[in-house]
Amino acid sequence: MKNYGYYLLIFLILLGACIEEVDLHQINGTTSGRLVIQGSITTEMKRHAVFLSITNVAIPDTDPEKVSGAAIEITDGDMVYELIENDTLPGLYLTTTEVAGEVGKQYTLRVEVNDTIYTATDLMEPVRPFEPEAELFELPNRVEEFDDVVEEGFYEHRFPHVRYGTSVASKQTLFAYDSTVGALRQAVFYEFPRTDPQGFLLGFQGDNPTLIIEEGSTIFQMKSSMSTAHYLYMRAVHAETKFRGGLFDVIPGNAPSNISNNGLGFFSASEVISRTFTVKKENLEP
Amino acid sequence: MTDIYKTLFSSLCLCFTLIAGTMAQDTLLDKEITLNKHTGSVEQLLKEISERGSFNFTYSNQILIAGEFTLTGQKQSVRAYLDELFPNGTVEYYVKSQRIILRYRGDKKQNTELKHTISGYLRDAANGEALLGANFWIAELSTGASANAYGFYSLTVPQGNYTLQSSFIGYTTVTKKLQLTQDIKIDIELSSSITELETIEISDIELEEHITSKAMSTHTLSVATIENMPSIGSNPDIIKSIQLLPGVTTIGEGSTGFFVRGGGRDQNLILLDQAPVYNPSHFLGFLSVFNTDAINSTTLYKGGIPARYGGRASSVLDVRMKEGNTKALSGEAGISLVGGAKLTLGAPLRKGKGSFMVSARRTYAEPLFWAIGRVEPLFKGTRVFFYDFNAKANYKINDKNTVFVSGYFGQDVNKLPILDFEVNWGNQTGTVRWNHLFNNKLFSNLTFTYSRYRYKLDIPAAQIPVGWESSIRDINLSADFSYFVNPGTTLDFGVSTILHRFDPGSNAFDEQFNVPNSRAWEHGLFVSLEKEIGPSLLLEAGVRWSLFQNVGETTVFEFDQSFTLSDTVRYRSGEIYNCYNNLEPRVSARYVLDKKQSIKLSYNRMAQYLHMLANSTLSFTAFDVWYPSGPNIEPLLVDQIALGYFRNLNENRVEASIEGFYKHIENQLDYADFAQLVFNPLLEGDLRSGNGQSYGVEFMLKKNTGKLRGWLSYTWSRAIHKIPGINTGRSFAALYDQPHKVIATAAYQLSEKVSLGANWTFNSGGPVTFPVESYSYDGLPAVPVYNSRNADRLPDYHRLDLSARIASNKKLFKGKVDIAYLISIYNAYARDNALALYIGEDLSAGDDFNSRTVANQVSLFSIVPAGSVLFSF
Repeated sequence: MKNYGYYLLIFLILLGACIEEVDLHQINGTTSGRLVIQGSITTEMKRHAVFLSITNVAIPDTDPEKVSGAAIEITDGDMVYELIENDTLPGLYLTTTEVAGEVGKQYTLRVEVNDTIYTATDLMEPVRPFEPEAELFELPNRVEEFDDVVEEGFYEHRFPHVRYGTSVASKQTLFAYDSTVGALRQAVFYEFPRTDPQGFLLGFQGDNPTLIIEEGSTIFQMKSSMSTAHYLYMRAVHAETKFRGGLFDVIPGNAPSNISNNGLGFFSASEVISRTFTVKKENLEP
Repeated sequence: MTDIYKTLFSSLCLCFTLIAGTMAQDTLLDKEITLNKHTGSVEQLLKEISERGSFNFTYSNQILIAGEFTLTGQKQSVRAYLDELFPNGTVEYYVKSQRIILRYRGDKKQNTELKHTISGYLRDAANGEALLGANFWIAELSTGASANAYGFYSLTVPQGNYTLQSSFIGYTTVTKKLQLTQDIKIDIELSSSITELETIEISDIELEEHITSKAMSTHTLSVATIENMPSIGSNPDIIKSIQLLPGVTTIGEGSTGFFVRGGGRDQNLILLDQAPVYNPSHFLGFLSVFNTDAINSTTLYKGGIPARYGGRASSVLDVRMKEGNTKALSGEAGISLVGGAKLTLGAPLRKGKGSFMVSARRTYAEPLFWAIGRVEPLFKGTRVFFYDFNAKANYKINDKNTVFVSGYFGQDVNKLPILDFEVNWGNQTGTVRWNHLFNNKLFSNLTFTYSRYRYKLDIPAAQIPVGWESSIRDINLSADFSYFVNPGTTLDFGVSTILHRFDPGSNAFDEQFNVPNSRAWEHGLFVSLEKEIGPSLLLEAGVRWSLFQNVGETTVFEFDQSFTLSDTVRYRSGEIYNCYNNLEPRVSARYVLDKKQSIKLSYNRMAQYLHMLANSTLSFTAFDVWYPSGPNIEPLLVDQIALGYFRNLNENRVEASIEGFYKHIENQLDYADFAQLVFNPLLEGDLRSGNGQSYGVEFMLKKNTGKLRGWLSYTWSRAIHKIPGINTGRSFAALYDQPHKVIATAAYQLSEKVSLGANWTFNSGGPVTFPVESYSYDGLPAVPVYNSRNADRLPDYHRLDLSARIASNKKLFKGKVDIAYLISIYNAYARDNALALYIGEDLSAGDDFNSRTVANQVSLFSIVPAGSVLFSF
């Protein structure tokens, strides 16, 4: 699989640059055990999830510790939806299946853990309609012949971590069946308004969202709205993770969480739309 | 705080003056000495006294009475010996600049009523270039003057017979006899001695300049010095050389951004022929916009900044272009892999009346990218290059009027189809100067300058196409005057006005993110008096008054205490909606302890009304936004006090100095976390303001003579900021805080044809912020959690650069064109200095990506050997 970080590296190597791993484990100290919340409510009628964990060391080698035994609910001011911890996955809390959010409403998450209460609020903004299907195959997204298989006719469809210059922020999730491995493949990328130089230049660094497709492949596409606070949080998370290490690094900072009481993470509310379409020959060889 | 050190400064000045006044009374004349030889002619006895006393006499032949004399005293004061030699009081003696002046009493009476002025220009004999800062000296009077920024000098002295000496570092001293009976204009040409193999003779005047000049915290680098230093890609560079001076730091490998004594990158006033240059960087900052072939002189003021400069808070880098060869057609050319190809030509316009210079430079990486594109189609269409064009002409209308016209145009083009990205930036400057001599004591300079910096970012594949553009444009008119009152007194005064136009950012395709344009007037009025007080004390006191006026048409956003937009106000075209003014005192003093040592003191207050906004951890970004002070942003105010001790060692061959400084910064800007500085009309809401301080000590040993030249310096300094809303209000180290810095630079003339250069630089690693813990979110295993800003450090930085310049015996075009080869090795021991350290995905595996979370070190430039071929005629 091609990786565009490779091309960036070629460019940097032309400058005599190198990126190498160094041992900095001495910065791993004791953790504070701050609560981390990742949760959302959408307009989909489904079980909505909230994950609870605690902070890990600065350079983690293991997954973070999950938090069980919390009392969690989501409310829009009128309705209250309780979340129950999953029996098999500690730290995962789910609503019932008959829950769907409404655009324009403000949702509040309430989490009680060990007598401490954390809250977070987000406004559910409307999502913008899909772009024409053909745009999905144009730059900055990339379609190239897949060179990891013997058989011809397969294409690698890669997306930058963030697509800049959209009118509002959103999140896109795409699914397509990958015949080369016989499994469903998922690609997630964000769309942000404006641009961030470091994100733009490192848009193809690391593990890019990728689908392996052929003519006739079916793509299932979902698009989720993001509030301004959610956009700013995800923008900061990207600046601190995917987009670190370039020539335009921003000054480090903590991502602006909407969790109260010194909690970390984000609780979001999103409208979600979806569509399904078939990959045409002209999409692959424009 | 400010009041405390102002009081401290006033007290120091007072003490300094009192001490100076007291010491002036008993200097050399009261020194007790013992003679070995008591009998001889007046001349022989004076020589004996001066040798025993380690000082010099200055006298005319009129006092050399014939015959033999005997001095009786065994151990007595110099004055007592002189009284014995000249018993009738016919000769008076006084001390000046560590010399004892002897002259007939009758001389004074006769001559004080009749004084004449010697004035003119000091120029390079080879090409007629003005020699800024060259010295003009009258031996008999032990007095002299320095050429101003245009090479002009003026000195008013009693009529008489004098020996005139003109000197400048790197030039052979010119001595002339003069019978001064009327005002006279003498233009003097000095010949460069830089290529001579033998030890270059430098006059005592020049060697003592380090001690006697008022300048402190100031460095003048000749182009010859810069060209003898090793450089990246064999491209000598002014700013890279500046970064090797004590008190100057940089962050990031090879960047042209620099920080002076704890001041920000935007606090340096970079002038090219008096026009400001807003972004001196080419090619991601690896080279500066200053092509050394087109440059005549470079002076960096780190402190004690003269009152004629204003507008930036921490330093002034005054770069002057060559004026062109007034003698004959001459030129230089060169070709190198990184710096591209360059050509400079200079020639007289009408012999003796004027000259011109044109210089061009362009890189040529396209063939490389074309070749890569043949293998990898994604590189097709890649264009990465820059160019510079400098031009200057001068014309002497008559003895009293000379005009100069100069300009600079430069552009960087970076088109990377692989990233769907194109960014271009460039500076344009233009200067028109009129030098006018009202008389031989009053010199004026009227200057009009134009300057524009602009960058443009194109992202054609964005869903809404992006064509983001940001610029700043200045139009400046200034007049400054120098009045040479008498040999010890010079009065400078002047006025300037600048019209700034700011376009912080606009997108032709989508106006919702445009930052409002605005304009501003910046006026300055200054007066400065340089005065010698007694034989040892030189004082320069001045003041600058600056006035900044924001002008519509524009939109101003108002913010509440939580930096949320509270109101929007629209102002009409031409409407002045906000004003700031500041009084900026500048004082410097020098006290000569003896002919080998002096102490110097300076204080300056600087106001800065322009701010460069860049939320980057490195010192280069093409996306800098220049933004004015206004209702939401107060001007930056810096007070700096510096104290230095200067001493010459090894018979004046080595200059030693130690300078300490303290700087207080008001209204230092910083940024909220993840500040959005582009595409954000409300960017002022992302700014935070507080205070800063920096302090340090700079040691320097410098050798200007002989085959081996160079300097060794050590700087200890700190730069600390305290800004509400940043780092929870606690103090933190500025990004460019590097406590220890050691520089050793040397140039060695191995033979007539070969010179060698070496630089070794060491500095403490810059501050870095490491996370204290992390958390998992949305599939990302390590979103960092930070505690204190800049609490950690990158590894220490050190690097050795080597170079050799070899003049070839071979000549081209019938021996008219000389050839030289410049070979350089940057980072000779291939140290991987850290540009950045961060926690993230493991990228070291390249194409074989894996999802481990690791600490990554990014390094630029391992060992970089390079060469260039230079031609001159």
